[in-house]
Amino acid sequence: MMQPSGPCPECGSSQIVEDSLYSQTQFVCEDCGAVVSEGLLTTTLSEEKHLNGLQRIRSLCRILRFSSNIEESSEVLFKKAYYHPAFLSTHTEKKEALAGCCVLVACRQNDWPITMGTISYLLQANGEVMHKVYTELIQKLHLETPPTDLTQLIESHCNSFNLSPSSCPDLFSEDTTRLAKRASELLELADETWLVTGRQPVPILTAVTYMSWLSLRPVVSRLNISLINFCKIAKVPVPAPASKRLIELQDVLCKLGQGLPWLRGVKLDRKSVAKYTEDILKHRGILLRQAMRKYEEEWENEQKCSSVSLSDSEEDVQGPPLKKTKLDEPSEGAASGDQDKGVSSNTSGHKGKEVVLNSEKKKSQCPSLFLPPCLQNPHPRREREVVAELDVFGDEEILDSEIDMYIRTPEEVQALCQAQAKLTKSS
Amino acid sequence: MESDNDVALDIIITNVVCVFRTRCHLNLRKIALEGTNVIYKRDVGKVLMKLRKPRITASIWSSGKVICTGATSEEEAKLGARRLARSLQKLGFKVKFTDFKVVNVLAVCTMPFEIRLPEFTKSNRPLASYEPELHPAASYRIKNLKATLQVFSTGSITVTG
Repeated sequence: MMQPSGPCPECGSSQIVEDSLYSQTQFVCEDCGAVVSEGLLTTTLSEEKHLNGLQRIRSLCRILRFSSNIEESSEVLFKKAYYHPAFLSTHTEKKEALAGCCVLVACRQNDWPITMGTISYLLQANGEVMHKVYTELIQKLHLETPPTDLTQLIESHCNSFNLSPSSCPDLFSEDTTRLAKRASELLELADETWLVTGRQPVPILTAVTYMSWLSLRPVVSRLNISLINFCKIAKVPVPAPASKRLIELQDVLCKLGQGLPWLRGVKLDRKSVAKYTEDILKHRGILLRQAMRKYEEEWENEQKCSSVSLSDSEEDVQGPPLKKTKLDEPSEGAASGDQDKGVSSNTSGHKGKEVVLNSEKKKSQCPSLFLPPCLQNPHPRREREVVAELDVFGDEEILDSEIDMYIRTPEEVQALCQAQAKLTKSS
Repeated sequence: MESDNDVALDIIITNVVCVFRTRCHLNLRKIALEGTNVIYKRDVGKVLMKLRKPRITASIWSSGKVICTGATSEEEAKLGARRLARSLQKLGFKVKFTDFKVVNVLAVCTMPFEIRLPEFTKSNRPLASYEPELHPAASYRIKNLKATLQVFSTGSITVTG
């Protein structure tokens, strides 16, 4: 509570009393009636922001129709976090994002599926700020938040697509329950084949929903609609990586579809695979095992052929790649007869021995048919300069000549000053 | 894992960060004028100086604090820091090489197998945390070593600390 500072400025009396007029506290001199000070604040700016944050939480919970449990736990968490030193004296933007992060943590702890993207969209908050605040919140308050299972998210994601008969033509409309069911099967398949781990969830969900929509009624008019147009029809934003995820999913379906006996001879490509998706999903367990077994058998055969051809020609091997084993025999014969390549054949023979040892080691390690896409299609990396490792101890003597290359000579300094002066004159 | 299939893993140190103090005020304009391989960041108030051998980038502040990054071993970091201090001495500053400390070491390692991150996180709670919306890797913290490991689904692991 504020205390009156000093005597009354009008009469010098020290009899100053507190008087409230229309709920506004005032300090009034008892002798002359002069108002010494007024306008005492009922709430501070910090408290107002705290109240705003709580209001934001309540409105968010109401929009998303959360239970009272989640609303209460997010309010408690917000009160605790707001007065933590890490969040007390920060920008308003961060405090606004803190409310959203508290709701997200409460949802996670109560197994309610929701993405950070949804909350930042509703709050109109900056995604990067949300990320930073969320990480800090978890760290500072030592919270445990189990990650959201994507299979729980798929249903709410499918419900966000406007595919009812009233909002789009009959040919494009679809029942969301059927859509969600087919989409969750596709999502399981994508998870098995390394398309989900380490990736953003929303683009995968969008791609899977689109594929599910195509496969439920694979008519020509639907098959001609692209992912972007589908999202326009359903009035849903298209996340940028969704088209890449779709291509990866279609490639996996094509690989598995080749195992179906009634599709032997049928040309399976990304456009036509939607017609056979239902069958592929029905038998996906068997198809996965079959495809992996077949791949392993082919790989073992190649390994046997390559080890046989390498052991036959130990002197003339040039480290052949696994696929070209049959072509090696005639080329090896030619190399052995050529005297110009004598030196290179000796060195390559040495390399060949190393390759044999490596292939023996790798026999038990057959690469998987389904790998994370970045391993299947690695980015072509620029060859970095191979810097020779310096044999240093840290305390060697440093020669003056080595240091001189980092210091300009007086003539160079003069020239630089003159050039700078000319530049400033011209500008 | 069978003991017969023990595979030696290559852990490669990619970056070592160290700091030291010169115990004297440094005139950044003079360093920018008389030093080669120097970038003067006036807005931030520091100078970036790059050495060729060892390949190191140093951030120099006028207070005399210097941070060196880019070395591939602790010894190399110390040599680079000393070389830098010597360059500053030659420029005319009364530099003393004090409070040298290696602050961070970054290493990279690749496993010969892929890792399912949701299952990995579930079985290693609370040390491991995985947020696919924030970062594609799961982070695993070892408190007593003060180290953080970023585990990627491809089997690549980055160790910092």
